[in-house]
Amino acid sequence: MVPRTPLSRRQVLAAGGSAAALLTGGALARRLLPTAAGSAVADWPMAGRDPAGTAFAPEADPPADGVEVRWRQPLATGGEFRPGPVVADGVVYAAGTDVYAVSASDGEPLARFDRTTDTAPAVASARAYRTRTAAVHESPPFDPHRLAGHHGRGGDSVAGVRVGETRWTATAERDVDSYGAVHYGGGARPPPVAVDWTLLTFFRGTLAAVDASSGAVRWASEKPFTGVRPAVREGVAYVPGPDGGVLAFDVERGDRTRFRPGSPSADRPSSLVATPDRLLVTGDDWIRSLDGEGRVEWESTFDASGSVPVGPIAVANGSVYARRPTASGPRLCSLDATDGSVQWVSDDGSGDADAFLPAVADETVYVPVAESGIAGVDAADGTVRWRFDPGDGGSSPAALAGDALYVVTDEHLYALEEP
Amino acid sequence: MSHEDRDPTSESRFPTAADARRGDESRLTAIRLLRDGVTDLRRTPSVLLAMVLAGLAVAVVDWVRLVDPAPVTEFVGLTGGRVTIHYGVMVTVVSGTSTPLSALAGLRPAWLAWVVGLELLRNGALVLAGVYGFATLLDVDATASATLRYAGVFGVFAALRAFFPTYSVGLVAGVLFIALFLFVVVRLVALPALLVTGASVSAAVGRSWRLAAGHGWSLLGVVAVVGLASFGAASVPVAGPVLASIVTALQVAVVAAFVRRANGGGSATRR
Repeated sequence: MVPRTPLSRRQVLAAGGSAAALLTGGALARRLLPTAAGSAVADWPMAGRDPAGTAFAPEADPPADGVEVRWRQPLATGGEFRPGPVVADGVVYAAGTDVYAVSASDGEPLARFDRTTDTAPAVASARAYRTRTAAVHESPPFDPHRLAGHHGRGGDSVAGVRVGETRWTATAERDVDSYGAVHYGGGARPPPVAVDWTLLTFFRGTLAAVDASSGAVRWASEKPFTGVRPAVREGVAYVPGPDGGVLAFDVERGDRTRFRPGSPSADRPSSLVATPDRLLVTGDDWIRSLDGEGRVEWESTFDASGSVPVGPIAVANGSVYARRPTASGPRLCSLDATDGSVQWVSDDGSGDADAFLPAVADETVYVPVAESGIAGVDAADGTVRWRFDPGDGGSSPAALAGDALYVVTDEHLYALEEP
Repeated sequence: MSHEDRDPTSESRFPTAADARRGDESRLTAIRLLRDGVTDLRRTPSVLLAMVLAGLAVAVVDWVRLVDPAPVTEFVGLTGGRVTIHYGVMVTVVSGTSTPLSALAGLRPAWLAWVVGLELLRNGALVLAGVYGFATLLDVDATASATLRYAGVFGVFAALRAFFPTYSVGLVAGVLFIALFLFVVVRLVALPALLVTGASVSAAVGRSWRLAAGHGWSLLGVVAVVGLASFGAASVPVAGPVLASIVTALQVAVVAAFVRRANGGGSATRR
């Protein structure tokens, strides 16, 4: 048996001092850690291009008067889903049976992530890392849905061995399977949205904010509801509420407020886009503009024999590009963003509910067409300038970055340029 | 006591289990070892205090790591719907976070230094508390070389945990592996205490192996009780590591009591 040795005063004081130092240091670290600033990602880092979801690339200069193939890479999609590619830091990410990362300049393969997804990845700033994080939403049928964060270039090489491809996986799933019905070229699961360091994503019916660097779930919505791609403006994420209204979540803290009340009879919104002046909300055959207080500025209703989702929409230079039902099928149309008046209805456009999402840059609207391929439409009058139909299946929504246009077909990832 | 008696490398200081049985007629049971451990902790509260401070360091590191931008793997406790035995041969406190090696690739240098620094703080605190606890309870002077050896072996075990690949195996293979794993753990129970007494790594491993002979079931009981209690305590949110450190202090006391008893009831060395 050891001899009895009670604590001395010196030991007690030393222990108390050590404990105080540890707790003070920890508290200071927690307070100071979140203060660094994230940087916005250029190019086309997510479906809808920016956190607001405008699908407008003002600094890009993609082909306007015609296209030719700069490069193409084989990409097996299985034909069921064709999520649009995303582009960041000179890398194109495209989801097929796996997720591929290729060089934007020449199509050289950089990495292949063994992830099964039916929605577009998102690329976000990662505070602790030298490269950005490419986040892929996985939705296995029986397991929890999760977001996987990958090294933006597929990993680092250490002694010839590729390491660090996967940084983290995150989930905050609750037991409700509820996603909206609007597609961004993929399945109905909304694509993740990158807001500086944060990735907003739905895990089934739960909206969550995930740290793009650590993969930590910063907050998750308490009550599950229908998942639709959030539209973010000035640190607030807008999503449809369960009763046809619009909810607003503080991106940093997760605080929820009701931006626009709904009612049991209200038409449920299926896509949103936030601009500095208004929030554009779409549903089946209708589109509304809400002001900063959530009041309706204008509403446009399209007559249709069947329900046709108007969105996802693109918003650029005071115009809204949406899908309008016509006698010959849905067509791309342009509305005045200030009053909702119709500016033109194109002769071409998507009849494919899974692939519709216009992309806008340089006075041209790029839209997947019903039969196959993609069309370049004059943003001023709706005339079709060119069509690209390689004959290998339908086209995904476009990603616009630099002087190129990137699309996925059933068999290839294409980079298109001006002839 | 002569200088030779205090020579930590002296083989004669650590009798075999058969010698221990001859020198102590009462049988070594898990309950007796645990009771001895509790008694010793009550008589030397500084050992408990040191380990609780180490647990606090682990908890603070967890607390910070959960908000910093480097990925962590979070400990899944009882709320994960499973129970596991968490017993570290080199005494450790179950932490709420760990750093996956894959997350280190590509970190900015400042954040890599941050993560490495926090891991050193966490593990350094555990090493110092362990060395202090064994040295106090075995009444030996922990030399710098003994402390470094202890830290080195602690690091090897930590690396094994980090690098050891995970395989899915069948039930029979899994049971065989678990049995083999527990056999080795039981045989190495005394290893950290012997390292603190100044034994070389190979000598400490050999002696620990021999000391455990004949006491396998008793030590297995200790491993199970301490491992389950550690897991349960660590399942408490935020304060889990601090609570688990109390269990770890008990582990130190029990292992020290085992070494003393296997040594014929006396101290490992006398100052």
